[in-house]
Amino acid sequence: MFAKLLKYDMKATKRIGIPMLIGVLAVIVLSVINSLFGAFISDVTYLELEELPKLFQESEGALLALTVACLLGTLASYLLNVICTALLSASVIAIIVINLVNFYKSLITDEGYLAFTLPVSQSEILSSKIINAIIWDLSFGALYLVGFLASQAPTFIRSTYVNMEYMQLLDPDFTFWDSLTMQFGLEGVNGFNILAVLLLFVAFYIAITIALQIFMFFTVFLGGVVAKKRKFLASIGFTAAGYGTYYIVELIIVGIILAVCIVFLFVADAEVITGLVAANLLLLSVNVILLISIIVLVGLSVLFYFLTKWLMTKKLNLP
Amino acid sequence: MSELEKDTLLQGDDDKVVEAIAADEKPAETQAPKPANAPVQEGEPNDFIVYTYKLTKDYGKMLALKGVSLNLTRGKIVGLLGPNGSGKTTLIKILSGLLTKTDGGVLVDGKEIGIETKAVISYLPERPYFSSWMRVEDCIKYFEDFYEDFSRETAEKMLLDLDIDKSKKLRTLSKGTKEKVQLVLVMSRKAKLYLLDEPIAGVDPAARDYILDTIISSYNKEATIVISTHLISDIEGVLDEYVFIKNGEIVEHGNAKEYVENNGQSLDEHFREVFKYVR
Repeated sequence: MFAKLLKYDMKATKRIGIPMLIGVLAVIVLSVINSLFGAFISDVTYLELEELPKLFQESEGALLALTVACLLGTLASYLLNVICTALLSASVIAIIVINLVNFYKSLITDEGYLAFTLPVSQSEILSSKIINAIIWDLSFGALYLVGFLASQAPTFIRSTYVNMEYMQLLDPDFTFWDSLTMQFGLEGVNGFNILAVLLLFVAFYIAITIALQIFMFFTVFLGGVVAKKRKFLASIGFTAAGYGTYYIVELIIVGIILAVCIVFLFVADAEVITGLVAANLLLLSVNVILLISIIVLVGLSVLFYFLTKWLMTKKLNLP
Repeated sequence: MSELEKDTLLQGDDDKVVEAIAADEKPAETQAPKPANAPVQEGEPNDFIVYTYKLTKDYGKMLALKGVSLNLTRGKIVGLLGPNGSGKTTLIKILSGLLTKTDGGVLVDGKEIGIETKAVISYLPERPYFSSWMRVEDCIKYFEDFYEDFSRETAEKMLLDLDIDKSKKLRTLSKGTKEKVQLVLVMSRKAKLYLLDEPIAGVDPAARDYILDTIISSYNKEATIVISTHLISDIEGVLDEYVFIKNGEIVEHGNAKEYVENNGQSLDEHFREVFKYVR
């Protein structure tokens, strides 16, 4: 029965989800093209006069036109970048609102008559909707990650290459890989720490997605219980307030941990604390922050899942 | 056995509940005296398709059901009749598993309300409950997927009779047609208990006869149909039993045909008499 519930939840959400995925993909492709265009303009801007075609070396008018074109190109690229970022940010908010609408419509409105009279348990209904929302969120998350990497890659590869050429003047054996680790400031840093940061970051993203979906479920029912009118708006308000509170608390805790780490570096013996040790320590503290966050998010997910069930049964009279 | 123990038991295992209720005294007569033509109500809780015992439901300070004890036998068409706010929908929602009870006991087919009872109840709410993006065909598939007792053949025949195109999206249908689609799906199940909340209120008078004929001809003869409605004159001809509910209490439960024969008065007239508003 759970698989059937999930099938119908997917069916209900794909009508909006798939066009949105295509839309986000289009914005990402535009963003990557813009990034390549920006890199090209930047290359042209930094060319020496002798490196330009003869036309620009001989004609001041052509050189002026090229300069103006470069300026306008940079401006256009910057504006397009802002627009793409705004569209992608808006899509994140849209996904949250769409999930909230789906939860609300299928459980609080008349559609709930259908869901709650099916011969399935309350937990199956909740889990199906949460898992469906998480599948969409992770799909969008993966797309955003690929998009971010793709849009940053041209600029980053170029700067890594330029850095390699510069370093090869000092050390002919300096490779592209050496330049890459240098760019990240990871030379000689404990490989375990780097891998752990990557894995924990993925786990953190999944944990925060699950926690947010469960919390949204909770706010939909909380809106249904607390608000007399405009229950859906109340649900959005509760979601924003809850997520905002979590974000601020997390920011304060991260700030405290990093501050402790920095203070430790300052008070410790400068001869012992080399740059390498400092980098490892910072990475370790990031790992600790991510690990604590994941544990807290798992705890919050469990708490809000049971609070949701309690609200449904005790306050909304849903069996 | 104290009421508290009994109520605590009612939260738990089905068999224990049935035994506990059966071993104890018969349900107390908390309502108005029954008329002479009242259906025989003796038997074990398991014998009834619906067995409620001092069933109470409150919404905060408002008491929607006040200790309702109602037993319905199998194979009957029962009219649940009462004015607005009398508790009809609350009772139906508790039976269908949409609302939790506050107090008392309720068994459907000898079991506490849960997944098992939802599988044997075919419930028709008073409002459309399918998503507007669905086509009629999607709704049929939905019922086919979730209800083992659903018959696609029956549903398709009834839709054809009512001239409803399966390929149409629900959002393109009128409110009345949507209600017909729902009723067709609900009646295409071989359920043990049909709970129909205002099944004919939203459809045109011409379709009402077809719907009532459909209800009578298509339902499982072993099953019980509970019809909640205000349109008593339209349905009284098909009723075996009637239940009058007022302010959350059952005020009368009788045999519909016997009442009409013995009193020379239609149920509609009787209803108007019982629920008459006084200036």
